[in-house]
Amino acid sequence: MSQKKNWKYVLAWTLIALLVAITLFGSYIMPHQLGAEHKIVFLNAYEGAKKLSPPLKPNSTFLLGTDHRGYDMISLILNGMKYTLGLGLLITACRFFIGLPLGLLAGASGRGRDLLKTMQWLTTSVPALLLIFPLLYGLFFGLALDTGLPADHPNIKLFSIIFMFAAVFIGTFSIAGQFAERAAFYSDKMFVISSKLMGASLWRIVFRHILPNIRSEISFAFLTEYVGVLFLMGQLAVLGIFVGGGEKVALDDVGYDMITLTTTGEWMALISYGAIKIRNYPWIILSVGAAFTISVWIVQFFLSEMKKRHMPISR
Amino acid sequence: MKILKWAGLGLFLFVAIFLLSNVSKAFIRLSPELLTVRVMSQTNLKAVVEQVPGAVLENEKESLVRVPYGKAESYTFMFAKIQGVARAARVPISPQFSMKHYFFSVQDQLKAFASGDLGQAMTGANNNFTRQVSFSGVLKQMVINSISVLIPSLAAAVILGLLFAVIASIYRSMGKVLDAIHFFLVGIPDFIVVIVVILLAIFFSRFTTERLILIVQLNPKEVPFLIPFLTITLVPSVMMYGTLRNAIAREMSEGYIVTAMAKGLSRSRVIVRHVLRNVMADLFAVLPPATKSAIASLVVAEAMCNITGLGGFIVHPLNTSISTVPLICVTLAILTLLLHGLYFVLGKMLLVNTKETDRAQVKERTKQLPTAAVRKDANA
Repeated sequence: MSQKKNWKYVLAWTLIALLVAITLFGSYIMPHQLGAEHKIVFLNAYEGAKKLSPPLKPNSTFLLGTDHRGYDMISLILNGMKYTLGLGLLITACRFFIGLPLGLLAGASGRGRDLLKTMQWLTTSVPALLLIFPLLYGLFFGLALDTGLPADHPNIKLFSIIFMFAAVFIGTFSIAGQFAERAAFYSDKMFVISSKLMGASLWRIVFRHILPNIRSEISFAFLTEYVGVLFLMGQLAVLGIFVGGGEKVALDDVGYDMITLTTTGEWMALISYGAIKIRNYPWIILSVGAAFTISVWIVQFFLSEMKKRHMPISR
Repeated sequence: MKILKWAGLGLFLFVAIFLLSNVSKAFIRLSPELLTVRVMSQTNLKAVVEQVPGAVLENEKESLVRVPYGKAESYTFMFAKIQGVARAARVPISPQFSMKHYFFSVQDQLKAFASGDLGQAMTGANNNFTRQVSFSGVLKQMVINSISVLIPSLAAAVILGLLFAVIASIYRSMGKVLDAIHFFLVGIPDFIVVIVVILLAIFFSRFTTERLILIVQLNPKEVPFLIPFLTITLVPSVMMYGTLRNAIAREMSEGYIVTAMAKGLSRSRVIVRHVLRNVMADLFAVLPPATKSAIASLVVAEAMCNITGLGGFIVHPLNTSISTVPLICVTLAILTLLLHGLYFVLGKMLLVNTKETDRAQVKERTKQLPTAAVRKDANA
């Protein structure tokens, strides 16, 4: 491998390690705190005749500006990172935890492949958003999540569980179908046939013979799926659906225009809030959108370098 | 038999989407069968209740009236019209999940659909949607709004994906640049594209008094095009570029291409004349997932630009009280499946079917046919 390629490979590992570290320790390196006592109502400064109040534009104190409560955007993003990227990771892991054994067993045994194909068609023939959004949209309002419930409210927990279940269900069969094909391919190989003849059980064939051969494919598929889950979560956020609680904040003096804001800085809630206020306070969606895109780029770069290292394609 | 199976699955899918879309009906915060009817001092509540068929006095002291299940809202209006009634209102209850109310609402909705009533929608001008009209009246315009941006975007995605994949394969240095751009675009979610274009439009509008780009729908006649077009085009074109670039690279290592190059044909001629026809199957394979992405992006772009197309209407704030979400979701699903059907038919017409032929024969044919074409081309 050339020195240049090696350098890119090292960079990919460095960036992914940095992403994981910031995700885990983001709340410890926040430049500002996010407690109720750290809210800003007014500043001792004027813009023309008007007293300055949040949301504040990016400035030397708040590099990416603040939200409507005066919370620093960088601090919100750093604190919320673990919730968003963690939830995406958890959904992807659950999809693989169910879909991978299901697909491998169906592919290796040849049983249930038709049912798997049917389920795969049902869950992938239309955009995932169309299947998942109507359910979550109904639940979001039905469980009164639009009223700004606190993060520990039972309705928030119930919604989070249903969100997880729906997001896992929608992607499981596609993974199962993909790996059923691979297992069926390996089932025709001589070493698997020999193992069958020697009396190996289906579980042994799948987990001792087929699985080790598709390890890299699984890791690539996992990362690709992870990006897909993050994109789906982003689309749902733009449509006003996100996991986590918040608080109801008035956007005007009379309390006519109310909005639910996240107390943790969860990115999807920030995207949802920023999308509504894009024309008045663009820095909110720009900052969280940039953080989201950079995270996706890092995962994509890592995936691409891994593929180059383990599955070189000649061009 | 196969057609019946797919038709059945399609129907099952629509029913599933319809049932899922109605889940909000299972959550109730107001009693579906109790009303509070306050009457003026000289009026007798019992006499008022007797005037309304189906209503029964539940508790005179608390002014509670029982009406047929699920009809509380319509009975509120009926009571309000009676002389001597000061106020008729639904009774708040502690929030609960009721499957009875869910099935009742779904049944009620299906009955209305069967009689040709698709529900109500809000419409208006200058982003002020205050007029309630029949949903069937606006559905046609919504479909037109969505299709008029979806189809050009998909066509542009196919053209751009194919064109850039061919350019990247012909010119290697250009290929490196395009691959790098492709890498960055793969990581950009569709909603970020909308944000960037909206912010650019706002930024540049500071330097001119003319309107550069229409950001939001102001009235039914002025519908933004550029922002949804760019958003919907991005993801499918990136998907197509990636797939076709790999497909062309795969074909370039085939024996018949090596033969063609050895015979002195230029790289561009080989790609345009011989490789392109063999990567058409890859193009048709990527079209359905690209269409799914395009429709998801359509929803996002229309929602962010307040367009009253199919996607934008799903999240319209007033929709929370109007039962059009199930119908819109089913319409979008039908649109997706119709496009999949179109690709299937086009694929059948344009691609060579090798399914019923013996695998060995197919291998032989795929090896021989292009080589023969290459030979003919080289001789010419």
